[in-house]
Amino acid sequence: MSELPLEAVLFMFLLVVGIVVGRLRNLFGAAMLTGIFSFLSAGLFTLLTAVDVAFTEAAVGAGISTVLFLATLALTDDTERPSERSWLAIGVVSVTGLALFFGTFDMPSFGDPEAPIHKGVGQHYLMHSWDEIGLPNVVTSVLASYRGYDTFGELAVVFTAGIGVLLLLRSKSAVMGAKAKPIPARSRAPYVREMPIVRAVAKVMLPFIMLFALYVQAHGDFGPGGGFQAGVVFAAAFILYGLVWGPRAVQRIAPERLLEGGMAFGLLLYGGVGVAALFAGGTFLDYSAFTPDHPSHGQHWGIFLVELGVGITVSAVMLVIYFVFTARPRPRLPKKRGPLAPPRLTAVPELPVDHSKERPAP
Amino acid sequence: MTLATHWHYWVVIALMMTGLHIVIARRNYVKKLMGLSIFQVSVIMLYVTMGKVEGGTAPVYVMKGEGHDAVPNLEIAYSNPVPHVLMLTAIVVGIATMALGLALVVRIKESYGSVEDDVVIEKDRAEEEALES
Amino acid sequence: MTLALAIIGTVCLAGGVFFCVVGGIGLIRLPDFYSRCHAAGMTDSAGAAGILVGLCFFAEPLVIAKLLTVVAFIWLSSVVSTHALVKAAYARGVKMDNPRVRDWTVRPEKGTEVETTVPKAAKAPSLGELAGVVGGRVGVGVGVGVGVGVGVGVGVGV
Repeated sequence: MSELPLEAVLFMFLLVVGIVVGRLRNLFGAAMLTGIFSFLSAGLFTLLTAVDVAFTEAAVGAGISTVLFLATLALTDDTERPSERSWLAIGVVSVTGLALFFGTFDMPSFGDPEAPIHKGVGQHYLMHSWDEIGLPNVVTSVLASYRGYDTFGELAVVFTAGIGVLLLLRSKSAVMGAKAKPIPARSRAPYVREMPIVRAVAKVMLPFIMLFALYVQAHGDFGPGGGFQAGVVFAAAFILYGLVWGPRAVQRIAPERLLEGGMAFGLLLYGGVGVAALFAGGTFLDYSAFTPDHPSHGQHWGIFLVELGVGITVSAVMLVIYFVFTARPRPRLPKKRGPLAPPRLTAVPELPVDHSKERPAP
Repeated sequence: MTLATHWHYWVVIALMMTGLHIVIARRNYVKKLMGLSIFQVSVIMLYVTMGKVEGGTAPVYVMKGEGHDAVPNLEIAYSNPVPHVLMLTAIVVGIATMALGLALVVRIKESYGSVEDDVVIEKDRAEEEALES
Repeated sequence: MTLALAIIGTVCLAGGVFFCVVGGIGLIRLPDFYSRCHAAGMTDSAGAAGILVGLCFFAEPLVIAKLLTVVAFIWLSSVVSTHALVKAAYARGVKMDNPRVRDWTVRPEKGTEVETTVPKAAKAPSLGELAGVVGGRVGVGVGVGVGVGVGVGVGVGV
C-alpha cells in the first residue's frame, strides 16, 4: 500500500499525456509524448512488479517506436490539419467507457491472491518450474519453454513484419544495395563534420551498448532480460551509429544481405531446435528430449538456443526496418536554414508518385 | 467494490477510451497510429495489474541457501508470471504491426500526396467516378 | 552509522527531487526554446544524478556499482542529447526570443555595431510585492497538495 501515491501520480501523468497526444497538432511533439507515455508505463510496470514487461516496454515502446514515428514524420507531414469536434466519436467512446465501467463491477480486487487468474497454470509454473526447468526467472522459463510455441509464433510475426516493410518500402536508391565502397568525404552525412561532441560520445558509448545487449541476452535466465530486449538494444547501437554517421556508414558494417539472412536465420534456429527435439525423441519444442537422463540440462540448452534465435531475428528486423525507412527518398527538405547549416550537396529529390499503377476497370 | 480496490481498472478504462477516441476522431493517419499505441499500452496495463498479487514480488525466484544447493524460496508470494509472458508477446507484436502500419502510411503519402483521411477518401472517390464516367 | 547514511541519502534524494521540480517549472515558465533546453538538461543531469546517488546510500555494494554506472551513462548520453537538440535547432533557424539577452542566432551585418550591454529590466519589484506574489503562490501550492493528499487518503480509506 505504500506505493499507492506513486502509482496514482504516474497514472495521472499517463492520463494527461494521453489526452495531450490527442490534442497536439504538432506531430513531432506528439511522437515525443508517445515515447514519454511508453516510458511512464514502463515505470508503472516496474511498480506493479512486472519487471520483464517494463524492460521490454522501455526498450521497444520508448526506443524503437519513437524512432519509427520520427522516421515516418520525416517522410510525411509533421503537422496535423485541425479537425472539428465529432460528437459521434465522443458518444461512442462514452458509451463504450460506461459499458466497460459497469463490466468492472464483477472483477476481482486489485492484488487479490484468490482471484481466478491466479488459480490456473500460474501456480503450477511458480511451484514446479524449478524442478522441471531450473531457471530462477520464471518468466523466461514460461516464455521459452512452457509457452515456447507462442513465442515461436510471435517471432514469426516479427519476421513477417520485417518482410512486409521490405516489400512496401524498399527502394532502389543508392544507399540500399550499394556495394561497400569507401565513402568520399563530401558525401558523408552533412552534419557529421560539425558535430564533434556527438561523434566522440557516440564512439565511446557504442561498445558499451553492444556489451549490454549481450549481457541482457545471456542474463535473461537470472533476471529480467532475454532475446527480445537484447535484440532491440543491439539494434539500438547500430541505429545510433546510423544516426550520427549516416546510412552509408552503417551499410558498410551491416550490409543488407547479412541482415536479411539474419532475419531468417533466427527464426530457422528456433524452428530447428524444435525439429531437433522431434528427432531426439520428444515432441516439438520439448527440450528435455535432448538429455533424457537430466531433463533440466536439456531445457537450459534449448532455452539458450531459442533465445539466441529470438535475439538475432529481432535485432535484424529492427535494423532492416530502420534502414528501409531512412533510405526512402525524402519528399522535401526543410525550408528554413539557419546560419550554421552546411551548403546543400545534392539536388532536392523529386517526390516519387506512382503513375504506373492504374486501377483496373471495374 | 470500492474505489480502493477497483481504481486501477477505471484508470485503465479512461486510458483505453482516450486512445480509442484518438483513433476514431482524428483524421491524420499517423495520429491514429499514435492513438492505437496508447490503446495498446493501456490494455497491457490492464493485464499486468490483474496479474499483481498483493505483497508479491517480481516472478524471479528469491534463492535461499548457498551455491549449488540454492533452492527457491516458495513461501513468499510472487506475482503471476503468465500475464507477464502474454504481455511481452503483445508488446513485441504491437511494435511489429506499428512498423507495418507506418510503412503503409508512408506509401499512402507517396501515392495520394496526403495522410489526412478525408483527402485520401475524396481522391479515391474522384478516381472511381472518373473511371466510371 | 546507518542513521547517518540514511540522513545523507535523504538529503541527496531531496536535492535531486528539488532539481527535477525546478527543471519542470523552468520547462513551462522560461520564455524561449534555448533556455527551456537548459532547464530540461538540468533535470537530466542534476536531478537524475541526485536521486540515484541518494539511492546509493540505501543499497548494498553491487547495487551501488550499478547505480553509479547508470549515473555515468545518463551524464554521457542525455547531456549530449541536449547538446545535439540545441545544435539542430540552431542549424534549423530557431530564433531566440528572450528580450533581455542579445540574440546570438542572428548574424550581424558587416559594419553595424553590436550592443554588448544587457538592457536593464523595466522596474525591479519591491520586497513587499515579491513577498506577496511568492506567498500567494506557495499558498496555492500548499492548498493543492493538501487537497490531493486528503483526496487520496479518503479514497484509500474508503
